[in-house]
Amino acid sequence: MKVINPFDSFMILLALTPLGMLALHAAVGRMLKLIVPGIQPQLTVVICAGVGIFPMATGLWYFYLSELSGMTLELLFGAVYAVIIYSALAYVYFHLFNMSETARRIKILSLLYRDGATEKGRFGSGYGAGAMLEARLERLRSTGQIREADGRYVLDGKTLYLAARAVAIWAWVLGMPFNAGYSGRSGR
Amino acid sequence: MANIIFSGLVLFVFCLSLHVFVWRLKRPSSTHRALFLIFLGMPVLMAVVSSVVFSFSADGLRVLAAVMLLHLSLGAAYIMSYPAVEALSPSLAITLMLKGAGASGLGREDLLGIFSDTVVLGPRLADLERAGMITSSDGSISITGRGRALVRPFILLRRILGLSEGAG
Repeated sequence: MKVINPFDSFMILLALTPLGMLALHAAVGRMLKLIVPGIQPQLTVVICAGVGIFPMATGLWYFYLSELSGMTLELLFGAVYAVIIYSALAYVYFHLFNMSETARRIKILSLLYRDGATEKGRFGSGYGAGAMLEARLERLRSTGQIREADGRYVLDGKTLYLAARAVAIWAWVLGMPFNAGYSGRSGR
Repeated sequence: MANIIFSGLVLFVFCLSLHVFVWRLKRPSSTHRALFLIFLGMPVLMAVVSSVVFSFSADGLRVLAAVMLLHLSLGAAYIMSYPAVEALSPSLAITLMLKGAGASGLGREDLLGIFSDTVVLGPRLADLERAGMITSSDGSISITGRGRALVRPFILLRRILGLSEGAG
């Protein structure tokens, strides 16, 4: 017996997407680390978002969508609504996780939280340019965006490059200057 | 359901247009606060006020909640993406630099300039200090209560996931 209104259950389940992603990520992430030891953490989240569609779709069908099975158009719009919200909230979860992984301000605060008061000079050595570049080159290499040949790096994939172009266009729409190089004023 | 999707998208596009209009007029000094206000604060306030003024029925409130859920999901996704517009992330900067270099590519030394400590560390420490997240005195830096409050959820998240500290 369904105690809560079916449509309410449908919306609550969709709104819980980030929490569901976290639970799935905690379980699947640990499993993937055992099966594929060098897997990039960001790729794990993308896999979890893909896997998470199945339990989410099952829940949504059970709570609400099954009641629309006789109304093809309503069912179609219900599915479209669910896909938009699931994708948007999974994307939000991805970014939150990515902040814990790559955001420099979060890294600085984490180091200070762990080590307590730190001398300015010593602090930089634990967060140097070389380590940051290595972390990113490794990430880009393992996701197929770049490749290394004879000690030189060459663009290989198009995804991130296209994302950078899209960002440039949106900056233009907002009337903001866009620095195609690196300004050093990153938001994170 | 079609009406809910349409209304949610119209609300999101309205907020997006307002954001473009405000930014073109004069970019706010605190861009994140302004984004939260435009995409989250103002629509939620409008929804609360309209539900009180028009005394919606239970079904009406349900529709309003569904419209808001759609709008807020899209708004949150946009807010999370926005920092890349203010300043290119290092990974995107690397791909643009490599595209510019063409088939000959770039060496590690060519890319290292992006991450020099004076470019990366200095401005971020200054930002964190301005935001009251850290304090510095006698050449040493320490985290404040506000900084702890911000970083704790991220530390907890990584503990739940069984991950060590992020690479930064």
